[in-house]
Amino acid sequence: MLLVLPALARAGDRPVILIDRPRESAFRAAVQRFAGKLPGGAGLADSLRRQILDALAFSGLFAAVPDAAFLGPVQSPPLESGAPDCPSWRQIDADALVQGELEGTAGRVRVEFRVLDVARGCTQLLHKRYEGAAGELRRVGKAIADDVVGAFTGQPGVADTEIAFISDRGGSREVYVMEADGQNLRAATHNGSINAFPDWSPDGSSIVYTSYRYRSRPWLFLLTRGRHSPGRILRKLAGVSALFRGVYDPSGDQLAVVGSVDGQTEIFRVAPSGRSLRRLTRNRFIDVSPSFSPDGRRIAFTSDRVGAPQIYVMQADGSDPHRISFDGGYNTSPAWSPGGRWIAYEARVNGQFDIWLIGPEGAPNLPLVTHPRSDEHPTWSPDGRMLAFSSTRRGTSDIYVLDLATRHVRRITDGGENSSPAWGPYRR
Amino acid sequence: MNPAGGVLLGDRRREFRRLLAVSALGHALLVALLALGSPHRSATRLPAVVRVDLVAAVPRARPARHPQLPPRARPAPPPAPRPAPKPARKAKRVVLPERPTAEPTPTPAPPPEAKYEDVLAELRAAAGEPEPEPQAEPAQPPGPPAPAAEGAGGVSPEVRAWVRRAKAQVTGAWILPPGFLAQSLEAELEVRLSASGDVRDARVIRRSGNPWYDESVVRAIEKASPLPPPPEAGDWRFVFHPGDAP
Repeated sequence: MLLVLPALARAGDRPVILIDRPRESAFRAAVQRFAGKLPGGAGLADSLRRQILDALAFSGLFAAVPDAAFLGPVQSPPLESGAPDCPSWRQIDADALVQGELEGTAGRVRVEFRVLDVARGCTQLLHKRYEGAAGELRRVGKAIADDVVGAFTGQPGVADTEIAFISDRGGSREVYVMEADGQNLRAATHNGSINAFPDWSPDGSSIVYTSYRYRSRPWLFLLTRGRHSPGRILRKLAGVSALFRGVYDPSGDQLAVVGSVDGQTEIFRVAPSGRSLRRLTRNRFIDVSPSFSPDGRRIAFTSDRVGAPQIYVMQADGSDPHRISFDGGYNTSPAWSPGGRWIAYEARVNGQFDIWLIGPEGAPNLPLVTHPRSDEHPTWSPDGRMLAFSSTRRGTSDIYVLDLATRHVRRITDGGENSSPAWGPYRR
Repeated sequence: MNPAGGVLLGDRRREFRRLLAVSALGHALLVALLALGSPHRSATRLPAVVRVDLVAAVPRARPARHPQLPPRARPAPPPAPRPAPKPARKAKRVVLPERPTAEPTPTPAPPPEAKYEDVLAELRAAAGEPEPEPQAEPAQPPGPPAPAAEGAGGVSPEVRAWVRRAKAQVTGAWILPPGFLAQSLEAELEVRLSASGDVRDARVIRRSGNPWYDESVVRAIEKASPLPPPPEAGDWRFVFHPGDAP
């Protein structure tokens, strides 16, 4: 694509300089230790700082300027003390300067911080406050890091998000929830039965999942953050004898569910209350694994109508189902990206599964995770920069996170067999 | 007494002369090193302060760099430390071709060979050498613009050389998260340069539509300042458009 440059005569016959390639993809962040007015303040300020730096590293978009490189102090001045000595931060090539204060009384903390754009004269990009229980300080650190990412890129980071998944570490396959870096892992179900396929509501308040705990038949259940979870949902669905899996549409008002009716496995749409049931597929084949496009207008799913599982896309009302995967003999588990440009899916290669990306129209079709051991069940982070998936690459099944830009893969679970990850939405 | 004193004196004198000779030689060597060093001290590229690089950097080929030269104390107290580290900043941002550049990638990345060429071009630009063969610049384009476009009347080799060096310096200072690369964004800046290359002002005259992209290009110009002294002080245009050179 040739560049149309403005008429050179206007620039006084001076050539225009074209910059056609950035040199780096990661910014450098100088994070000072926040000024503390807390009993035992230094310890909390240090751990908050540690959390901000770890979460920035998690984003893959910021590298920390080490303390040893600081020309200015490691300790942040109070925020009302005015503009910092910008040249001393410019000299060490910092892009972001993060300063702040924390204070609080027993049990509660208040953190106030600002983010400065060092290269542009230490312009203030952000000034924000967080309040919470003292035990939430870790989340505050992650939120601050996500805000720094957002201030420089327009899209907040995902350190302060959660991943639901299935694990048998407690003896039975239950739904667990952890933060995106693997911290704060805890069980969300304790029913001793077989549980599967957790999926988040778009507002992050609920998880729909499949369980065999009702009469040993698969059905859908809802759990919420509050005390009282609704439990089994869709109790009266005409003609449906089992429900295998449910996913929320982007509005949160509807579910696409895979159910058994008249001996067939079909995809339906229904409100979580059970109203407005609508059958979307109608054939003697197996149609499973629905995934909504981010605008809610289309659904990707898996069907074996050509004899083996392949990826299909249909309109959200069930019309115009058409096949989009034509490479390989077994493709399943589609996951539509938040930006709408890609569908991640499992492709069987040499007897095991890899994760590929395909455009919603079927092209391009690219391998993404190709480890010789099985990599399955892709799920997108809400900013579309990362994918979580399960892999048996080290023998047992664990959840891994892939950074799409750097291709860096990190494992975030340990112990038990961990599978079926579902990445939750932004929490703030 | 006297002969002993004379002999001692003689010895001492010889010793003294030897010491004097060694000292003179040492001073001469030092002066010679200083003298050889001084023309490059006035060049804008050579840093006056030894810079500790915290990131592994490919050492740049600098003309006549003397490692045994002691770190030079700045002649005047540095009221504006900014100019000093800028030339050395380029050394740090060399990208080694271990970046993922496999063809099947959702975010387009240049192949390692292209980056290597870019590194060479930057080294040459820093050394002030002309490129052996302009790669994307046809010698005298009659009409269609080329990168570092040339005017209807032709552009002098000095201007072309300066454009190359300015481009290398600004490129080296431009940080852009990969998520922007696929969006085909383009922004144009009008940058007011002083005679010494300081960026006095940078205005976005054509926005990309993405404010964070626009901020990243302003940041790049600010970080790259001071640029090499331009052929003329005044307003110069920079267009930022990553990737997809045909």
